[in-house]
Amino acid sequence: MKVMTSARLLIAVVDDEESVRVAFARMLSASLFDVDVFASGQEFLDSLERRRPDCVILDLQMPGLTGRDVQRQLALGQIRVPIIVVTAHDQPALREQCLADGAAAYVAKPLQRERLINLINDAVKRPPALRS
Amino acid sequence: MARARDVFSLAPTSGPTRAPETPAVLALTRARTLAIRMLRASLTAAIVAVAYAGAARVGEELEFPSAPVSVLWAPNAILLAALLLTRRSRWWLYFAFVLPAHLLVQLPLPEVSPNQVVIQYVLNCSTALIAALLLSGFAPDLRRIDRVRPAIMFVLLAGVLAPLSTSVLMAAAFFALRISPAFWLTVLVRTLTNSFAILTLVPLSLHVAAWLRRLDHSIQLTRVAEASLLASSLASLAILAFIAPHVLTEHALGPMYILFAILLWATVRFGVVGVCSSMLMLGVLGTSGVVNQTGTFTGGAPVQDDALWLLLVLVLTCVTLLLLAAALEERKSLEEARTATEVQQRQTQMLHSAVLASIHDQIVVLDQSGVVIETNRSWRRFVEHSARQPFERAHVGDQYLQTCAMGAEAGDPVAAELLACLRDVLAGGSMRRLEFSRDTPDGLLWYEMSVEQLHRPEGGAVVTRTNITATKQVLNQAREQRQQLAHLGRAAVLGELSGAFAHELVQPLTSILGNAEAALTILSREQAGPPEIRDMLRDIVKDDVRAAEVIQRLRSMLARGEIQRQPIDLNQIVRDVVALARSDIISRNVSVITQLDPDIPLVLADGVQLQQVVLNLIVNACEAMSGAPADDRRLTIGTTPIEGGRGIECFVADRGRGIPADQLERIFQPFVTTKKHGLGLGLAICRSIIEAHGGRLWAESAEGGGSVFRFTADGAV
Repeated sequence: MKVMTSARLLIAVVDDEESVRVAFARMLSASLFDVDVFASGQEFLDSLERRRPDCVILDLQMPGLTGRDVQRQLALGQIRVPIIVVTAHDQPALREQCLADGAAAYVAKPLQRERLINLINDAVKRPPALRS
Repeated sequence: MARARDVFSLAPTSGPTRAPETPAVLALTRARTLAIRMLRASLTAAIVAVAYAGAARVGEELEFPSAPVSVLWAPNAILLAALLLTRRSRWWLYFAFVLPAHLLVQLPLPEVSPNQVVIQYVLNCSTALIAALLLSGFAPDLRRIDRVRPAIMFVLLAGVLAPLSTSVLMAAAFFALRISPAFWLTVLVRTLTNSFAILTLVPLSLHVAAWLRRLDHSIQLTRVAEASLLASSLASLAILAFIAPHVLTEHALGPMYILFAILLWATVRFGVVGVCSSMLMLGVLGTSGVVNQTGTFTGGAPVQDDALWLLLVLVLTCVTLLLLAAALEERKSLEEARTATEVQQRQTQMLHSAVLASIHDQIVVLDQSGVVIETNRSWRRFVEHSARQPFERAHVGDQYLQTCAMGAEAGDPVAAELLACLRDVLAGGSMRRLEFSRDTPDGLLWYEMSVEQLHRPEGGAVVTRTNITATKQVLNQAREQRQQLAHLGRAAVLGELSGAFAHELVQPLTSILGNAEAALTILSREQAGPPEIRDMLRDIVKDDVRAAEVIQRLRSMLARGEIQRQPIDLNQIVRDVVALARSDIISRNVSVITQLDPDIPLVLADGVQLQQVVLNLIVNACEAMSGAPADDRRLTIGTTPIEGGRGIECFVADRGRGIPADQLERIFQPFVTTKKHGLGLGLAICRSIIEAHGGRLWAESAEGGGSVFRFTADGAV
C-alpha cells in the first residue's frame, strides 16, 4: 500500500491526560506510525507551523482549548488535517456537530488498535473538504 | 388680637377682609349694633308693658269687694313670664317699661292714692322678681313645666312663696298707711289671685315660647278640631255655670261635675297647655260671674266669701291638674326615650346579625360554660350540608365542650385539640388556632379553627372555622419548590454521575488498553517472549473492553437518554435560578448583582441541566463567602456574548477566600472538595454537563480576592 511503503504516516495525539496520550503513542508506534504527542490543544496548534501531521487524534474534553475549539481553529486557519475525535464522554449531539464540522471520525474511548488503524487509514485516504 | 376678636364678635357685619378701621369707626359700629339690640329688647319690653297695662285694666274692673286688691290680677304673672324668657341682664328694661304702664292705668283712678300706686308697682315687680330669682336658683333651665320635680318647685316658689311674701308686705303697708284695715283678707286674696294668674299664665307662656322655638310648627287638623271642641264645651258650660243668671241654680252641681270631666280631658289630651288655658278661661268667667253676682258661686253667702271660695277652688284645681299634666308629660317623654332606645337597640342588633350572617367563615359563639348561644348562617349551612364530625354539628343550645369531649373520646384528634383550646380560652387564655384537613369529594381540604375570647364581662368564646385550602396550597407549593431546589443537586448526582465517572474511568481504561495492545503488537511482530504473555495481554484487552462496555451500559441506563436541547435564553435561566435560590441567598446574607447582557444569542441546551449548573455555582459561591464579613458577601452573576456574538460566556464571581492556583483545575475532579460536608461531585457534574453541551467550565482567581467560575455555550444559530 502507498501509505505503508512510501513513508511512515505522522500521527498527532492531543490529550490532556498523560497516561492516555502515552498509551496511544506506544500503540501507534508499535503499529509503525510516527507519533507526536501534545498535552493541550494550544500546544498542538503551535506545532503546526513546524510540521504538519497526516492525521490528528483529538480528545474532546480538555481544559483550555477543547477538542471543538481546536477543530474550529483548524477550520479557521484552513489547515486540512484529518481529525479523529476521541471522547470519554460520548454524546450523540456532539458526535453530529463534530462530524458536521468535518471530523473524519468520532469514536468513544477506549478504542482498540485495529479500529484506530482502520480509521486512520480511511481518514488519510479522504482528506477533509475545506469548510468555509 | 383679643381686641380684634372682640370687635368682630360685636360687629359681625364687618368681615375680616375689610381694611383696618379707625377706633372712631369701630366705636360707631359697636354703638350701632348695641343700639339695634337695645331697640329690639325695648320693643319686646314695650309689648310686655302693653300686656301688663291691659291685664291691669281688667284687674281693676274685677276688684275684690272688701279689700283693695283685684280678683284676677294677671300683670305680675305676665311680668314673671317675660323675666323667665329673658336674660337676667335685661330684666331692668321690663321694670322700666312697666312703670309708665302701671302709672297710666292706676293714676287716673280716683280711689287709688299715689302711695298705693307706688307700693303696688314695687310689690308687683318684687313678686315677679322674687319668683324669677327663686326659680333660676332652684329650677335652672326651666323651659317647660313638663317634669314633676320642676312643676312642684314652680308651684311652691312661684305659685306660693313669691305671692305670699309680697302680699304680706303689701297688706302690712296698706295697714300702716290706713289704706285697708283688712290685713289677713288682703294677704289671702292677693296671694290667691296672684297665684292663680302665675300658675296659669306662666306655664302657658313658657310652652308657647318653647313651641315657637321649635323648628317643626306643624299642627294636626284633628288636634285643632279636638281643641276647638274642648274650648267650646268648656266655654258653654262655664257660661252656664258662672254667667247665666240663676238658670241652673237648682241643678248647679251638674255642670260643675261635667266641668271637672272636661278639665281632665284637657289635662290628659293637651297637657300643661290644656290645663292652663282651660283654667284661665274658667278663672276669667268665674271671677266675672262672682263679681257680677251671677252663676253658681253666688248665693246666700256674702260676695267676698263667694270670691274667696272660687279663688281657692281655682288655685287648688290648677295646682292638682298642673302636677298631673307634668307627671303625664314626664311619663310620655320617658316612654318616647325608651322607645327610641329600643328602636336603636333593635337596629344595632339587626346590624350585628347582618354582619354575622354576611361573614363567609363559619362562626359559633359560646357562653362562659361552653353552651352555643349563636351561630352564623355560614355555620348553619355547613352543619346542614357538609358537617360530618359530631363536633361540627353544633346547634344553638348544645353544650359544645361536651360535644368536643365525645368526639375526642371517639378518637378524633381534632376534637381533642379543639377541646383543649376551648377550655384554655374559656379559662381566660388568649386566642388559639388549630389546623386540620378533611378528605372530601372535592379532594383534601384544609381548615383552620380559631378560638377567641368573647369580649364581654361574663366571658365566653367565639369559634371561627375557615377554609384555608387555597392558602395551604400556596404554602405547600412554596415548600415543595424549596425541597425541589434542595433536591436538585442531589437528584442530579445519580443522573449526571455517569458523565463524570465515565470520563474518569474511561481515561485509565483507554491507557490500559492502549498499553496492552502496544505490547501485544510488539511481542506478536517480533515473536518474542513466552506465548503466555501474549495471552495475558489479550485477556487484559478483553477485560478492558468488557469494563468499558459495563460503564457504557451503566451510563445509558442512568443518563436520562438524549439531552433535550431547545433554544434557551440563558439570561432567563439565571433569573429563574436566582429567584429560586432567593431564600437561601437571603438567609446567607449575600447580595446578588446580576449583569445580564440582553444581546446574547439563544443557546441550544437542556434547560434543566443548565439550571443545575447555575444553581450549583451560585450555592458554591454563597458557601465560599460564609466566612466573609456581611458587607463583603457580594455575588456577581452575568452573561456576555463571545466569539463575535455566536457564543455565550456566563460567569459567577464571589468574594470568598479564593482558590489556590494549583487547585483551580483539581476542584473539577470527582471527590475533590474544599467543603467539610461536600461529596466533591458538584463541579465534576457541572463540567460534564457543560462539556456535553460542547462548552467549557473553568475557575479563575478574581482580582481583589475571591474566585470566578466561567462557562461557555454555543449559540443556537
